[in-house]
Amino acid sequence: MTNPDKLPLPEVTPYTGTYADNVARIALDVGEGLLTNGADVHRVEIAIEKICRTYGAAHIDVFTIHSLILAAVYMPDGTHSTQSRRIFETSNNLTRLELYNALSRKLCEEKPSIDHADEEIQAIKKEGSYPFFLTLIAYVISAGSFAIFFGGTLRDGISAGLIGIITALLDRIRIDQINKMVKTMLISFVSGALSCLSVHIGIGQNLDMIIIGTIMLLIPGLSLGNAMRDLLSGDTLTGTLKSVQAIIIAVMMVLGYALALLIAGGGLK
Amino acid sequence: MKDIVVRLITAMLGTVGFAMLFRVSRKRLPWAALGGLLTWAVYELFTHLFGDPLISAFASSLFMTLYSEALARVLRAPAIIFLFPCAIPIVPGSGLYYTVYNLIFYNENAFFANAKTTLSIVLGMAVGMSVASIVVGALLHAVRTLKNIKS
Repeated sequence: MTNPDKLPLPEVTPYTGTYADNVARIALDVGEGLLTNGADVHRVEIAIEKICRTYGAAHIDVFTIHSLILAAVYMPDGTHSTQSRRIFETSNNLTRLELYNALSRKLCEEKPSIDHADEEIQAIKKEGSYPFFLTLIAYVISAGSFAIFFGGTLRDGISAGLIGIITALLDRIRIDQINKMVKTMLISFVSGALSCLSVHIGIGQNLDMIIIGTIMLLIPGLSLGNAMRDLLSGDTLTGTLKSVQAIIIAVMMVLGYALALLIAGGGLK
Repeated sequence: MKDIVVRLITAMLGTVGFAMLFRVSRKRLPWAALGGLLTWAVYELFTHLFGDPLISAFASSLFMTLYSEALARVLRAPAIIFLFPCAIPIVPGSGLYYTVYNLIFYNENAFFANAKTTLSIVLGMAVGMSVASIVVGALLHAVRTLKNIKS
């Protein structure tokens, strides 16, 4: 269901359409930005509703789940607009989230013109990217420290860190036709096999600990926690969908690692 | 004791690593690191006192949400920036993995043990975060009411 090549909205200025259309579009842009960068659905709905109210809407209906935003905006003069956004991929880019959050607050407080808001949104899209070597370092630090965290030795940490580099490189490859679940399985298989290899050639000592370190990079533990919070705060649909998604990703990872253990590690434990 | 120190340090480093994966801006990284360290310290403390993952997860999530909300007010940033990295050491990544692993390969006892721990931690985290945000909401409401009375 993922579509990494989702085309961005065309950058035509000025957009045609009524005032209601434009208000809904701006609000959805901000909402989409918040949702794709890690905000919870409740917050997205509140932000969209507030922005529309600031720009004079008389009535708003917003419905958000983790993969879709629907918003209907009704103006006092009778014009109205209903628009939707399909969300394919969510990443936790917290710098961008911070910027979208600030923009949403600014829209509600200062009420800048639609064109100005457009410019700000385009500016945010260019922000918040790290150079690739920092991402690599992040993978190494996370995998290495969690291998030691769960009881591994320093050598386990080093081998988990090295495998983290491979994981980062594999994660960066974008194969158009491959589905996200299969990709997760492939990455798990490769890092599982490399963990076995590192023990074989003597860099690592405890296979379990190296594997745990590399697992932490892929496992959707945080999204399971967030899903449970969604469930508790009443967003039953999003909570359920996210939990199921997290469990399926975990299943794919287990299959990948198990295959690697079968082939390279001399059997399952 | 040595184990605890090692875990504290690696929890902090892991938090920094994940904060970088979450693209937290560089000036906020030290705060995220401190948060990860303190959150794990709270977790260790409650594990030492009660030995129950549910209570430890609840207490540490309560702490990290309050920490993030307080920092958010001081540094004028959304709380989530500090909350996500801080949550990483408590998040039951290995638990989820082992649960599914034992489910697929029919190790009933290990499956139930891991599922119980994982669910306890996830539930404890969710309740802790929810309770903390209710507390923060109440505090903000109180502050606002006080300001209105004064003016």
